Formats: sequence, C-alpha cells, structure tokens
Amino acid sequence: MAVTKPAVLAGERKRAARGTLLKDIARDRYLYLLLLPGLLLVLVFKYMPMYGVVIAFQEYNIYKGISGSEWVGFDQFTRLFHSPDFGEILGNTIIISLYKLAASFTLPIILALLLNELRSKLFKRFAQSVVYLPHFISWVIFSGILITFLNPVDGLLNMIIQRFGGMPVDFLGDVRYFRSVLVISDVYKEVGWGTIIYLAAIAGVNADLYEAARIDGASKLKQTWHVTLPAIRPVILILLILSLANILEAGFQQIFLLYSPLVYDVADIIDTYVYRVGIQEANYSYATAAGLFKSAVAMALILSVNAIVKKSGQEGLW
Amino acid sequence: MLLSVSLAMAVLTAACSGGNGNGDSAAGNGGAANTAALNSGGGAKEASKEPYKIKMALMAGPKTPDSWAEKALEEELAKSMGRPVDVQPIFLPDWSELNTKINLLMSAKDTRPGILWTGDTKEYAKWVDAGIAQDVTPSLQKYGKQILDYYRKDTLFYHWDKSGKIFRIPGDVPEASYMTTILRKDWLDKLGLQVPATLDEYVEVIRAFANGDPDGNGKKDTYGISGDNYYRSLAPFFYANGLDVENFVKQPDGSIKFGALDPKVKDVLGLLNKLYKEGVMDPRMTTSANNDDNKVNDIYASGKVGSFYRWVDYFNPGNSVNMSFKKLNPTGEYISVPPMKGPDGFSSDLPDPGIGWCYLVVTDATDVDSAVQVLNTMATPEVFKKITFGNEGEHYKMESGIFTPTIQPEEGSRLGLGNFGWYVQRKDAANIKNTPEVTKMFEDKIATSQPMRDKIVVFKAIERPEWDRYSADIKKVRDELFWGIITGKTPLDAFDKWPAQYEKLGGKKVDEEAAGMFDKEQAERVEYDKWYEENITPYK
Amino acid sequence: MTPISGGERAFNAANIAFFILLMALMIYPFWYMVMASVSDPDLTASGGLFLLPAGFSSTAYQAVFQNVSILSGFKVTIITTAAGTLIGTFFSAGMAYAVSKKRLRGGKFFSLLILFTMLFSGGLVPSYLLVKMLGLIDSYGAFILPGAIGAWNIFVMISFFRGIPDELEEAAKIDGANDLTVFFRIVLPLSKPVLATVGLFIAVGYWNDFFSSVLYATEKDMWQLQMVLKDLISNTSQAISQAGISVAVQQQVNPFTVKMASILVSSAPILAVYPFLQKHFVKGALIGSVKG
Repeated sequence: MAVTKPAVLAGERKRAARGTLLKDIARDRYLYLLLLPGLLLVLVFKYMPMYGVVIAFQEYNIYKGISGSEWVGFDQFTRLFHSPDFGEILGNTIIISLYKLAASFTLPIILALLLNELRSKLFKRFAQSVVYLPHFISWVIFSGILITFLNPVDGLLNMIIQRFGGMPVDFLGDVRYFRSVLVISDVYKEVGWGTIIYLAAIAGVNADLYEAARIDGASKLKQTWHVTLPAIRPVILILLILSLANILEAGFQQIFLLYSPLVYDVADIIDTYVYRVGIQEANYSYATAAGLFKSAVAMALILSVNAIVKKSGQEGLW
Repeated sequence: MLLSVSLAMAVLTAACSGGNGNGDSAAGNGGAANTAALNSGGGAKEASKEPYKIKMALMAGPKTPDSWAEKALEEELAKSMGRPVDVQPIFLPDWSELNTKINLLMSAKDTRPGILWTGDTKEYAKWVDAGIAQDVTPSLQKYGKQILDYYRKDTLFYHWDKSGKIFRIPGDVPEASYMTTILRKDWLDKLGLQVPATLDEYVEVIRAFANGDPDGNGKKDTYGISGDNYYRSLAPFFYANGLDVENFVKQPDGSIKFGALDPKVKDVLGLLNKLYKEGVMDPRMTTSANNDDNKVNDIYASGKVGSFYRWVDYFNPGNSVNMSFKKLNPTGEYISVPPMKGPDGFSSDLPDPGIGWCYLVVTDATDVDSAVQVLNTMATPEVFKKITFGNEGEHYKMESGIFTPTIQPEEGSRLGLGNFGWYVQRKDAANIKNTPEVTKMFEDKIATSQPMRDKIVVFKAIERPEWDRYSADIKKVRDELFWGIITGKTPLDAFDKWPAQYEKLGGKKVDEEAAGMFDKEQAERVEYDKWYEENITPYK
Repeated sequence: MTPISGGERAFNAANIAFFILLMALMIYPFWYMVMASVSDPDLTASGGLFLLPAGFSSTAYQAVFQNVSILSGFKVTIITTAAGTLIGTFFSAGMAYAVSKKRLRGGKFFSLLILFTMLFSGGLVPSYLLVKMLGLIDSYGAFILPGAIGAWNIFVMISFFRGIPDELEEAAKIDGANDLTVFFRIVLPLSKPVLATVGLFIAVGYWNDFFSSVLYATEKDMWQLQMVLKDLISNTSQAISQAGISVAVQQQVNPFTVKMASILVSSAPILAVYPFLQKHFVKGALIGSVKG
C-alpha cells in the first residue's frame, strides 16, 4: 500500500477515506503500540520544552521568564547577520564543515570496505577495536596531545621535519595549515567510529550474492563494487542526508581549543564568535538565535536533499 | 588615596598568601590585628536549637562531599553562632559549565543556594533587579566585623551599590601584584651578564639567552622569553612604556583612552616582531600551544627559556612547578627582579585592580544575619587556616615560618581541605603557605606595581552595554593585528589603520560610555566615602 | 574456494600492512596517556614524553581509586548506561519498526516529528524546568529519559528494517502472527547487527554524558562519571584567563599524571564493550534465516 498523501480529498470521498483510515489504524494497532513509548518520550522531553525557541525573538531574562521578557522581534538575528565579520565567519563555518563532511563521510566507507577484506577474523576484530579508540578521547585531551606534537619548538612532527633538513612549521599559527590540521585531526579521531555502522550494514549483505558473483568469476574488487556497495547504498544515503544536519557545525570544541588570533581569519566560526560575544554579555537570546539560524539552514537542506534522493528513486528518510 | 591605602596595606599585611595557591594580594586591612576581635558578633538567636541549614555553592578545592573540613566548619560555626549548623555544600561543575549551572540554580527559589559563589558579573544586575540578591549591610554591621576589617575600603567600593547597599561580598581579592619578571640567574652568571635594569638591557640579556648557548650543549635550543598567549606575558615590554593594551588608561591631559590605541604600542610590537624573527621569543607564545597553563609550566620547568613574566608563587619552594624545575635542572636558579625601566625611566609590575575576581551573594531574605555570621566565621584567620590547611601538628607543621604539609595531597583532598576556598580567601598572615621570603616579595610588589595602578582605569560599573556589545569585535581585530605583527604575518604599518578600525567597530560609543562612567565614578566615590564613614567605619 | 590470484594476494598483504600502520597511529594517544599516567609527576615536564614513560610511579592510580567522587561517578554512570541503553535501544527499535512500514498511517508525519528534534530544541532552561516539574532532579530518571530517543538512531534503524525482505513478514502473517510477534520473533533476531550498533551508540552516549549532571544534579554523589572527570581535569587558571579575568588563581591542580590516569580508568569499561559486541556483526545472519 502506498503512502496516502494527506491531500485534499474530494468531498464525496471523504467518508470513505475516513473509513479506510480507521480500518488502517485498527489493522496496525500493534505497530502504533510499538511506536507509543518512544513517541511519548519524544513528546514529553523534546516537544514540551520546545516553546523555549521563542527566546530567540526576545531579550530573555531567566528571572523574568519567557512571559516577562521583552520581545524584540528579529533583532537578535539582525545583530548576528550585521556583525562586522559575519561573512567571514559564515564562510569559515561552511568551508570547514564541508571539508570535514567530504572527508569524514567518504573515508569511513572506504575503511569499512578495507576492514571487510581482511581475511583473518581475529586480526579484523582487533583492527576494528583499535581504530575506533581515538573517538573516546575528548577534544580537551586530544588537543593537548596535538599541540604537543605539532608545536614548532619541540613537537615530534617538526623534529622529524628538521631531521630531514626542513624548516619548522607552526601548524597551529599558520593560516595555510590550520584548516588541514582541523580536518585531519577530526578524521583521525572519528574515522574508526564511523566504520561501525557500515560494518553492521555489510554484515547484513546477502551471502548468496557474493557466491553468485564468484561463480561469475568476479574479482574481489568487482564483488565489492557490484555487490557490497549497492547493498549498503541505502544506509550511505541515509547517513549522508542526516550528516547535512551538521552543515553549520564546524566543530566548536576542537576549534576553540586549537585556534588563536593568528588564524582567526580562517578559523573563526559562528560558534566561536557567538561564544566570545557571550563572554561579554550573558546573552541566551543571541545564542539561541544563532542556533535557530543554523538549524533552519540544516532543515531546509535536509528536506531538499531528501526530496532529490526520493525523486531519483532511492529510499529517503521517509 | 590609592597610595595611602596601599601604604597602609604594606604596613599591616604581615603575610600574603592564598589557601588555594598563588595568593597574592595585599588586600587586607591587616589580618593579624583582627584575629582577636572575632566572634563577638555571634551568639544572637541562642534560643533556637533547631540546626541552621545553609546551602553554599562551592567552586574551589577538591569538592569532596561529607568531608572533614565540612565537619570542622560546622563545629566552628556552632561555636560562634551558638546553635547547631548544618552546612550543605552544592558543588559547582567545572568552569565551562559553571555559569549554566549557577543560572539554573538561581532560577528557582527551592534550588537557590543560601550563599552563592560566582565569578560571573553579568547576571548580578538581574539578581539585584529580581530581588534575589540581599543587601548585607545591616548584617555586616552587626555580625561582619572580620569581613569589614579584612577588605579594604577601596575594594568594597566596587561592590557598593549607589543606593547605599551592598549586595555582594568579594570572595577572593588577589594580592596587589602577583606577577614578576623572572630570569635565569645561573645563565646570567655563565654568560657574565648583570641583572638588567632597563628594557634595553633586558632585551640584550634575552638575546644572549637565546644565542649565547647558556645551557652549554652546543645547540641553539634555548629561548630568551616565553609565556602564555596573553598580553600579560609581554608585560616587561608594554609596562616599561607605560602601556596596557587591555584597559582604558589615564592620559596626561586627564582624559582616558583605550590602551591598545596608544601610538607607542606600535614601537613595542615592532620590537617584539624583531625578537620573534631572531628566535629570541618562543614561537609557542603566539598560538594556542601556550594557552594551557600546564604547557607554560612545562616549559618553565624544562629550563630551556631564560625569562618569563609569571607568578610570584613560583618562588615558594613547595610550588610544584618549582619542584619540577629543580628536579630537571639541579643547578638551575630562577630569580625575580624588579620591573624594567623604559626609555622614560618608567617601570611597573602588573597591578591587580583590587576588586576581587569572584564574589558571594546572600539570597535568603528571611535570614541574612545568619548567612553573614557564617561568612564572618569563615573569614576569621583560625577558621580559615583550619578549613584550608587543616590542624597544625596533625596535617601540617610550621618551622621557622615555613609551612610543610605532613599529609599527602590526596589525603588533603579526601579531607576536603580547600573545599571552602574563595569564601573570603585571606591573603594575609593567615595564608601560611607563603614562605617569609615570598611574603616579602608580595609586599615589595605593592610599590613596584603602583605606577601602572595609577594609570589604569578600573570601572566600577558592571553595566557597560556598549563595551559588552562591541568589545568582542574590537578585541578580535586587536588580537589579530597585534599577534599578526609580532609574528610578521601582518606588516607593522597595518597598525596605522587600527585607530580608524576601532572607531568603525563601535569604538566611539565605547569611548563615550567609558568617559561618562569615569566621570560618574569620580562623583560616586565622594558619595561612597561619606557612606563608608557612616556605615562601615564605626563597625570595624 | 576459488584460488586466490596473485593480485589479490598482493592486495591482502598491502591491506594488512596498511592496518598495522593505522593501528599503530590510532593507538598512540592511548599509549601516550598510559605513559603519562605512570610517569614520575615531576618529570613529565621535560617535554620528551614520546615513546617511553619518564620515571615510574603508580601514585596516580592510587589517587584515582581513593577518590570517592570517581567511585560514586562510576556507580551513577554504570546504572544510567545500563538502564538507558536497554530503554533507548528497545524503544527506538519499536518506533523505527513502526515508522519503517510504509503502510502505517501518519508514518511521514512521525518521521518529520522525529527529524525535527534532531535540529531544534527548546534549550536548557525549559528542559530544566520540565525535569524539575516532573520531580526528577537528582534522580536517574533525569539522566536516562530525556536522551533515550535520538533521531539519528531511529533513522538508521528504519533504514536497516527496510532491508528486511517483506516475504518474511508475509509468511509469518499467513501463519497467524500479528505485528508484535513478527517484531519480536523475526525482526529483532534478524537485526542483531543494527541493534548492536545502535545499542553501542546509545551506550557510549550515556557513558560520555556529563551535561545531564550539570542540568539535573545538585548532590555531588549524583554526578555522572564524566562530570567528575571534567571537573578533575579542568584547568582553573586557564578557564579564568579565557573568561577574560586576569588573575593568578593557581589552585593546587591535579597533576598531569593523575588527570591521565583518571581518563584511562574512566574510559576503560566502555572501550571493552565493542569487542564483545563484535560477534553480532556476523556475516550471513540474515540469509541463514531466510533459507531456514
């Protein structure tokens, strides 16, 4: 049965439709039962506090509450968009997050496929368990280790560069390298973690398909290309769509811990900027407005890409 | 007036130190003298046998629940207040989440701590508006002698509301100056150099430290100067020229001006750029590599850098950084020297504004008296020493003025020593952690930091809407420009465009606001003096 | 087995070499922390901690295991993680399965409803007020319930459930099964890989959660482990400097060695989970049942 479009039905069909609706609901009562507990949690803990977004349109004062705070319309947004470097910080945000998206989306797939090719089961499991370790190191600690390794005076990397006759490089103070450091360290930390979902998907691939391919004389590479990848394509697409939610999240913690005035022009993002403004004035409304802006952009993007994906005949989010 | 106050401090302050570390300020009207005159205020309400419950928000120390220190404090409070007291600590989360937690706690009556500790000033005005912060003046008059005696008149000014009320008490006021120019004595000797007295001599010394192979390993692996990524680490250069790039500075004509705009800043940046290029300045200073205090401490301890502008506390033999240094460099020796003289003969150490960086707010309108009694008891030197260091003979020993813990640091944490820090943290004789030598250094700093103290404008008003609104943008441009010039990323002449940029970023409004506040404050001081004479002096 | 070609053999060798290199790279930060945690606290400053510890000392671990807050944090986090993972995985699976059925009336609406929560939230204060109103402050409920259902997990599960052939369900229905029996008897057993995956994500989410404590805990013995840890490793003077306050507040900070030991001790349990889950990622689980 196809999803019935909630379109306007002609008057005479309304009653019939209502009959079908009730019948459908009765038929799927157990599905609704399964849906219910989770739905309740979502409604209570996510939707009941949702009224809080309105503070983006206020000059919110926690002691006066939402009802007592002053309404300012779009002032907070105007202020954000008119901040002197808005173009620069929006550009940095998008560029850094796109770089990260490109790298952190494709590399886990490749790594998962490579892991899948490991013959020794034991080695494979061991490798899997090791590559996902860095995910568990918080940025606070990881940035400390990075700084120790990248610093131009006694960092290991620069010692190696000097050993080979190069000049020491200030990776964290040089605009040419800073974004690369961000992307590479992010990939390093998350790539192994990212493979888990694909490994689960690969585990579900019908083994008959491989057998058929082998009988056809397909090489390993061909099997991967023609069997594994198509089989996990729905998961890849879903993850791609979902990752768009982070299109304006360039990684506050990481950047905040690594940047300095020397690299502001390539590394100052919306979140770090809003944070610095926030230090000057505890401004919930401003931060909420910035968050709402980011979410709205992400929502628009997800909805459009989902529509495109569905139009192309693939499974979308719904 | 400032001068007389600090002179008074110099006389009165026997020792400066802070339970939790680098206590460095002489912000006390003389602790030793007051020790006798304590608990006179207590004793009211003797009738109620019901324990007095007090929720306190705590940020300092190991945050140990149900600790020995808590019980010790409860005993002391019962003694001074004449009834059982139940201290209920609310331990605040780490710094990055601190303000979130405080705001949530304060948002509802039933979660509000009876005494709030906070370092944030932005919400304070809202608490006063909402009637959450209580005026403690009457209670201080009755029960607050210790507190009134300890804090200087000048310090309290910043916490005084012009309606004639005090809605907050400072929690920790640092020493008058707590940073100093530090040099490697053994390197000076080795290279046959004198202790520099002027900025020019200092520059030559650090050049020699970088280029003269002072560690004698035949490699050019030393730096002249290092420090963190904040302007304070460059104080020898800026302060010798009477410059402060973070504050408004009084001008010879009586007006005030944002310090970073001074044309002389350009010369200093040019000099720093030269030192950076020559490899005299540690390049780690210019990036986040040195944001973390631990990193700088590591560099300090590693002994590869000849000079720092850093904490006086390093000269306490028990300081962990100092101990690391000694272990790694048995023959190395750091000395603290007076601030360098600039071209005009000016010199100064970094002054502390004397406001205090955190404060306490009493929220329970029904019983302000009891809360103030609690604070007053905590401010007495004996109680302060007990909850900060433990019992003498049991947890530490004193030998010829030198404090030595007799328990391991973990044991101290388990006991909860330091849990109640920053609740009127004493920096005077009660802070027994400082050696007599370090105490003397802090005293000397009062005078050596005076020249900049006289120049820097300290604003009393918390409400600086224009500054709040524009300073994030202004600071961004300033920091990009200054660090850019220092590292050579930006040409020196880019400085010439900076005043115009400042103006464009809202600097004009900031300046007008600052000038207005400065004038208003002068007037307020007159009012305050009168109020203080009437409302505080008689109760000291 | 078809014979392995020379090219394949070369690829396999290269692949193994690649993973050995990668593993060395990935394990390094942990090695660094292990090294730092057992070093002599006074020697870690020498800047030379690269491959081997500086000196040796186990005092850091003694300090960690004597810390009452770490121990109580363990208790809170283990209870939260265990209960939360069960609730979260099970409820998410139920939701996802229902929504994955295209015939379900309102399926698109529910999908949107869930997606929306991924992007928009009411913020801290309303959430706090809600939890307070429900009387959950300082209770496990506050740590478990608000974060049990995550949009990302649901969509991943939906995608997996859609991969289960419809014939299985139809066959069962002919035998008289209803949706509940299909879900419990057929779908869940077939979905072990995705259940293990999402379960792991949820468990790690709970394990790493500290913010719930910031919002909903006032008693220190209800602090989650990561909250205790964060407090332990936070750097007071740095925090104050970053907040724009220039002051020398040098708390007697925990030595670097203790910080590292605390991090290792507090992440060890969750790191051990994945190797145990791996057996559920077995190839062909699906196909076996289709045939059977």
